Amino acid sequence: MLATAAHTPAQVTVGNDVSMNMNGQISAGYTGDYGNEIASDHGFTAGGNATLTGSFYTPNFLSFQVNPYFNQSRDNSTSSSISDSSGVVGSVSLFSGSNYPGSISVSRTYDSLGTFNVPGLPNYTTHGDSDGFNVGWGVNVPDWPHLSLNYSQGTNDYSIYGTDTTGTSDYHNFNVHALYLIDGFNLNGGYVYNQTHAEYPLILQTQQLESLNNDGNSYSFGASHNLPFHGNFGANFNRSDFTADFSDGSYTGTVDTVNSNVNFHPTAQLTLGADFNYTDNLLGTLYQNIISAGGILQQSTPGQSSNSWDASGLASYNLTKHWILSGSFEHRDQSYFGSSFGSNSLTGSANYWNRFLGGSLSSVLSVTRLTEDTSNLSAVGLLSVVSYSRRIMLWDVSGTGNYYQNTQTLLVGYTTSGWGYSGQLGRKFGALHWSANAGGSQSLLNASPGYGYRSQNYGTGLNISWLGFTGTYAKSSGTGLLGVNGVVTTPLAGESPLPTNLILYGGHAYGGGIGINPYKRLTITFSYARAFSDTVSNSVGSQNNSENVFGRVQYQFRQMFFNAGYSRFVQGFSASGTVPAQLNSFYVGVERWFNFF
Amino acid sequence: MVQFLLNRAAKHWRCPVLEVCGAILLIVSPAWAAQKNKKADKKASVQASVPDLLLDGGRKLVYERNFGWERDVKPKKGFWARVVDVVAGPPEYHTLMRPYSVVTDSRGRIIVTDPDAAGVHIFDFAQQKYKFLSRQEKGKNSLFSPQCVAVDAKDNIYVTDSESGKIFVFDANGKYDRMIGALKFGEGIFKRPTGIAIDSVANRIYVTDTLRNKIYVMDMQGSVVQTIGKPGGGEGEFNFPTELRLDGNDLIVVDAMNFRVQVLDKSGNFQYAIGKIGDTSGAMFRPKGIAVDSEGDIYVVDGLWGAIQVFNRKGELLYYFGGRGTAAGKFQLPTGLFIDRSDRIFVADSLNRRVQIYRYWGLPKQAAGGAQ
Repeated sequence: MLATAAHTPAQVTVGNDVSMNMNGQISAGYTGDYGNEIASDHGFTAGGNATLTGSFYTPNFLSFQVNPYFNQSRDNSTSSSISDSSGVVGSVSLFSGSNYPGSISVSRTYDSLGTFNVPGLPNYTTHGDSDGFNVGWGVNVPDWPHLSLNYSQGTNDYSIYGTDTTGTSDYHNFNVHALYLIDGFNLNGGYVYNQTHAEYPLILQTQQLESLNNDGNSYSFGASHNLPFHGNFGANFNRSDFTADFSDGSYTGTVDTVNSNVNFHPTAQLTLGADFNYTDNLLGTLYQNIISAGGILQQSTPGQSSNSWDASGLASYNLTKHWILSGSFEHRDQSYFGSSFGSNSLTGSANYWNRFLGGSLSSVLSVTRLTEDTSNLSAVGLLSVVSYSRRIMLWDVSGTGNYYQNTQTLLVGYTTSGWGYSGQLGRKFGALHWSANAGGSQSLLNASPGYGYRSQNYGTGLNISWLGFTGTYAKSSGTGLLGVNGVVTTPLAGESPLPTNLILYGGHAYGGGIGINPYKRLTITFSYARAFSDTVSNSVGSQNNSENVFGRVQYQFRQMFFNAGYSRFVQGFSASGTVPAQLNSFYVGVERWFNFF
Repeated sequence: MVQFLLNRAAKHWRCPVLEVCGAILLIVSPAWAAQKNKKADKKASVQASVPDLLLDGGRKLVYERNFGWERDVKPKKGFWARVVDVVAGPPEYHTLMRPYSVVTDSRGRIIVTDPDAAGVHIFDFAQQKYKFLSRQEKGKNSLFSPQCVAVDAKDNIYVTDSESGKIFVFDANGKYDRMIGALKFGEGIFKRPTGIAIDSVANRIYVTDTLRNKIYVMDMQGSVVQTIGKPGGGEGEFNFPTELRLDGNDLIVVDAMNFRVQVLDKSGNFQYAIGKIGDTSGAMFRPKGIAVDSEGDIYVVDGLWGAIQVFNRKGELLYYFGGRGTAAGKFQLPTGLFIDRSDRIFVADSLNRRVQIYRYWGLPKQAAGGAQ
């Protein structure tokens, strides 16, 4: 590798039609690593990265880009990796100036970092290997249907620091889409094949291995056409058949959906519209949503037929330049387990915007009345949003708040409620600029107040020309689903019979950073971050924490960077049964940027 | 193959001696390659020979040189400087991006405005020094698009900014001094200030406002004491005036869209005009910069033809030089023009990103007084 890179300038002459540019960074220095998840060692190391771009004949015929990198960590480079990651990413564009443009891309990474998510909190860190391949082609012949084809596949194997568990996922995807404009009709059609396999890490639940195999085919076609009065009509049909095999069962189903809409703008102020939607497998639609969000089905309910349709109408009128009034009506009909559920909802809303007390005020108020046909139950929903910003003397102030009580129907009528706020404050004190921000939100299912999520975050920053501080605090809790990339918040879906396995999570995190630029080319940065969370799944609790310390000094002389860095990383999960991972490293070295050719 | 090598590397394969040698190879080899590239760049700026233009009476016009970046004013590097260049890379030199106007001061420094770089380059070949002037401030007090430049008797530098509508003044050392023409809330009083000339004896600043078709005469504090001209095609009227020059008691103005040069007195009284629209020699199609040599002949840049035409005071074409191209002595959209007291002719060759220098050898040489 070293020899190859060193002699690269001599290898660029490939005929007269190839033009190439290459630049990159090479670093060398002394580094030491120690901790309980790596073999402690120290010594001289070298690393680097490069960007090779070029074309053959002309960029419109063939252009390419290759980005290899080797031994990149945040100590010896601007990479944010705590591991010495290596890899290569390459792409080729073919015939981009013709009617048949294509592209191919390939990637392979080793020891690269990833994240395992917890909503509202800093993500936990993973490391592993991955690869990806993608090829795409298009056919754009004038007066003929435009076609686009794409195939992609990839794998990702990773482990989470602080556990002895691993996760893996791989995917294959093929899709083809066609567009055709004929006699004013915009026709479209497509086919998608998707296959995924995932084995989930066991950091939050210790009982069994969770896995998912998902295969699906989807066909769709649709048409749209302009109508008088600046109107448009569109209709789409989609058929999806998919099979999901998971640890406790499987689900195989076919979902047909039909969507259509029509809208008119008879005047500049008035908008009229109507929608119609139908699905012959409502349960399958819900399962698809969970699986696509990365969630696991713990048990399925096969063999049950379900369907739904809804029709709605909307009218909106711009009363003045400050007011918009709108109203809508929706009827929904659902059938499940042989029972029918019907509901009607009527919504009226008003949007208002104006200057107010020297600032800018905008607000939305929306009220919905929902009535169920079968039970004669009725509920009222409310949505209100208010935003205001202005400059008061030397202070920049802005804030927004919202509250909602939302009534919806999904098999049964249900109500969710929530609120949110955010605010920013800033001011200059001579050369010093101070800013602060705060935000929070909550969304709950009224019938089950523990089902939902809430979060708060606060931050502040102080800057002068050569010095900057930041500080943050965040707090979050709620219910979620385990996915291959972490915990995802659950959709608030009422008292639905969704066979999901919930995870209760909660935690807080804080951190701070400082950046100093005492001289023109000298930069000193330091950051500290700490996160704690508790998760409960299947009655198994886990206390999780992470700590991240990072310091770096860099001096630039022309194209050389003299670096010295230290990092400390700790991450642990009590339910995993292993001790928290600790990684420490330091680095002293030099980095040089080159414009090779 | 690459994957195999990366795989090996990812497995923490380490041989300290090889790694150190490899690192040295990695750093030094590309550095030599980079140095080779710089040599190629240097070759590109080597002056090609341009034949002298021999004129009546033994007069002649001699091509001297061109320059386009900071490196051109720096002394030849010694051994150790070259070693540092190889190891650490060459310094980042400023380059002319789109030179627009050029002037020299009493020290012989060449001052070039550059709208694309949003600043002013100062090349001091005598002292082998370079300086770049800019002003980046929040709000509307930044130098956005410097157009024309002039210096006063104390070598203070006056730069018109066509975008912000102001004049920025820097002292002889390049330190920002003040703004002229700024109104409350950061707006400028000019719509599009372009040409500028300084009368240091009378303490007056002359500025053309191209969009208002006027010339503003101000005192040194920026108070308007007189306006000259109005829209039109008649005598003393303008249609997009741009550059202007003071020569003795004459105020010479490029009246761009009337395709002529008007000569007024300092009070704004019309004296005569030269030039007409056309695409033949002696006519003007895109008049840009203007200057006057020691014999009083008027040089006018025509941007479209890439040529400089020389007229006598009767409006008769004496000769022209240049032409479109990238070679030495050729121009791509030339704009600014300046002639110093030594009859050195500076042309801002904007799309070739350089300034080209000629010298006019007249008879008798070195008549007293020059432009500005």
